[in-house]
Amino acid sequence: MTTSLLDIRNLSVELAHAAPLKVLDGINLHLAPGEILGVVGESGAGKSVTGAAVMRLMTRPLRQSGGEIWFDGTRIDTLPEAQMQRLRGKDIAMIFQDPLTALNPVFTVGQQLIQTIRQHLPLDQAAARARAADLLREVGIPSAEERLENYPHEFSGGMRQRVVIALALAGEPRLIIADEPTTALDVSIQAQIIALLVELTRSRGMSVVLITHDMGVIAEACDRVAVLYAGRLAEVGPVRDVLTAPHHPYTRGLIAAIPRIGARLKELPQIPGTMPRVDALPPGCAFAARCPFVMEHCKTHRPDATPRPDGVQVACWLEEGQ
Amino acid sequence: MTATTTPAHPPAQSLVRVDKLSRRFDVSPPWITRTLYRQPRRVVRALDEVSFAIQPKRTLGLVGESGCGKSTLARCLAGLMSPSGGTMRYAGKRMDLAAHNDATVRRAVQMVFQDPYASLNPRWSVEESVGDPLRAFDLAKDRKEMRDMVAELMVEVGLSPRDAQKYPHQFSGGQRQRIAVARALASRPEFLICDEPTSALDVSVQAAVLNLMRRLQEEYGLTYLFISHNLTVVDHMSDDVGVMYLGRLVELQPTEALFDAPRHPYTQLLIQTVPSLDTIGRASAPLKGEVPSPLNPPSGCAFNPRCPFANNRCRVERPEATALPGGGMVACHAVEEGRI
Repeated sequence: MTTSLLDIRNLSVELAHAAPLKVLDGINLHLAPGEILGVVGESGAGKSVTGAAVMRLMTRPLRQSGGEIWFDGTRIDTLPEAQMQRLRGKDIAMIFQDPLTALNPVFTVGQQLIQTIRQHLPLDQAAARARAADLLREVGIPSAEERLENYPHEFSGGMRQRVVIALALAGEPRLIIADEPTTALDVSIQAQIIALLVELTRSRGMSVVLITHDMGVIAEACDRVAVLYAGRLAEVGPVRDVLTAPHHPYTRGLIAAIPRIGARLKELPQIPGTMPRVDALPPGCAFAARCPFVMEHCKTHRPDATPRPDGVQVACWLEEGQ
Repeated sequence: MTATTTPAHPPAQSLVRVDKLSRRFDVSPPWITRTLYRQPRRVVRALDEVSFAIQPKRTLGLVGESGCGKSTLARCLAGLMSPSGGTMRYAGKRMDLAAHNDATVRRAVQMVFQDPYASLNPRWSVEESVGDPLRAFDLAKDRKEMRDMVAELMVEVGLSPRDAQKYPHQFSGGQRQRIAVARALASRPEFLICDEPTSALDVSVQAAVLNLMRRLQEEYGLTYLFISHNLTVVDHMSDDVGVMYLGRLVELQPTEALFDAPRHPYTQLLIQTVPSLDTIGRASAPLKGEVPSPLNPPSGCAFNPRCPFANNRCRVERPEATALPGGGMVACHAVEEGRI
């Protein structure tokens, strides 16, 4: 697809081990300019590794073992480290879960912003400072000018995450990878940060990969959603389709298990069992052992994500009429 | 009228009753700093005259954001912390740190914590952890009986009796939380305080743990205080729900009434901002502002800086609890005056 800003093709990531373990296995994802793609899954499904692979922030024993990552028509997974470093923080920025560890506690917010801006843009100190204040205003921090002099600990959790977002915007990125950006925040603050991210995406025409375990956040913020299970893609498609009429039995189970206000269920539908560990993946479909519709074929043959007529891709043998 | 009782239920029936419970923390700088720089003492009111009652075999859910005093309340009730004021009664008896030395109360009130990675001793086998309450309260006559009882508890929470020989690191988060539940159940309690029991778990695992807790409640006739920041979970689990803001209880209503017709503006805000599967593509326009620091709470109603209905009275006078016709209470001038 030529219109994609980010194109992940058949990406695999291994955990170096006596017998290498597949942490990500054949992931295909693409992201159009101005689009917000949600990546959702349980702990250990490979959400964060997907983000880290795009940024090439993986450290040993993790390594990319196959596939290609294309950004704006350039293959970036083979770029020399020096070039990748120029891209990182400039064209592709990242927002992490915990704003307290993402900021350096011994420098003021202004120092960190100005340094990042000058790293990426040809501006002098004064111009960078003005730019820094603009960014803080853009992310909704009151009295931006004075706040530049404050240290991270002088901000509340929500304001701190706004600073982190301002920092991510410093290089005028076209793609932001946000890894659980609201998980550490309170509900009312979480809503503010999600609304801010959506608004920035629209006003700047950026794309966002939003990694989260919260389906509610996906519903409110994303255009499309990818559901990961045990390092494999279970289902990907427009949010409305996937959430209202999920096709993969895992997606169905996951959505049913979320309590809803006013549902008054006596018991929540639960998926029996747990996600297989990375060192105990079955030869067939990774979900086979927990699937209520499992067939013999599922236990031995791995389904690939197949596009349906409505644009949703589902990796399930039920879809193929096997 | 104050809401020292939940009017819908006569107080005589309540298993747990809390009256004007307060807990203050002294967070003053050291005396030398105070003397040299003439700084005053500083006190945080983590819990400020909170009153409610829980009927036997029912669940009271408590919601609120970080710093609103949910966990302080749990700790006071569990006897892990002494309140600075007010009373707690368990089955009509005064419950304070002294009463917690009374083995019958201690046995009857147990707690499940948020983080199953921190609440189990990593160097103890599951059998030691789950069996410890049995030993402490002399509930098993010998080692063999203790083992049998632990095995039974393991089955009860959906694990295998053989798992009792393993150590916490050999289990997943959901399994660990099941072990924590088994340990809490070991002393055959009547009242279980659950402080964010599923917040560290994935949704599919959360569903299983919530179902387990519901089943155990029915089976053993347990009474729950269920604390969470997650409104959907609280809605699912509770008969009544209380909402806390900066150490105060601002609203308490039967669950359906609270979610169908929230009265307090803060409750309305919370319910509006829950990320929900039904609001696809609509990032809700959230209310501005943040939770103020408990160190320096606003005067009058603590919510006034964020409240769209605040007037001068709200900025100076602290609202007291007003009883609601359907049972429950709300502490809001605007509701009391009929402005909302």
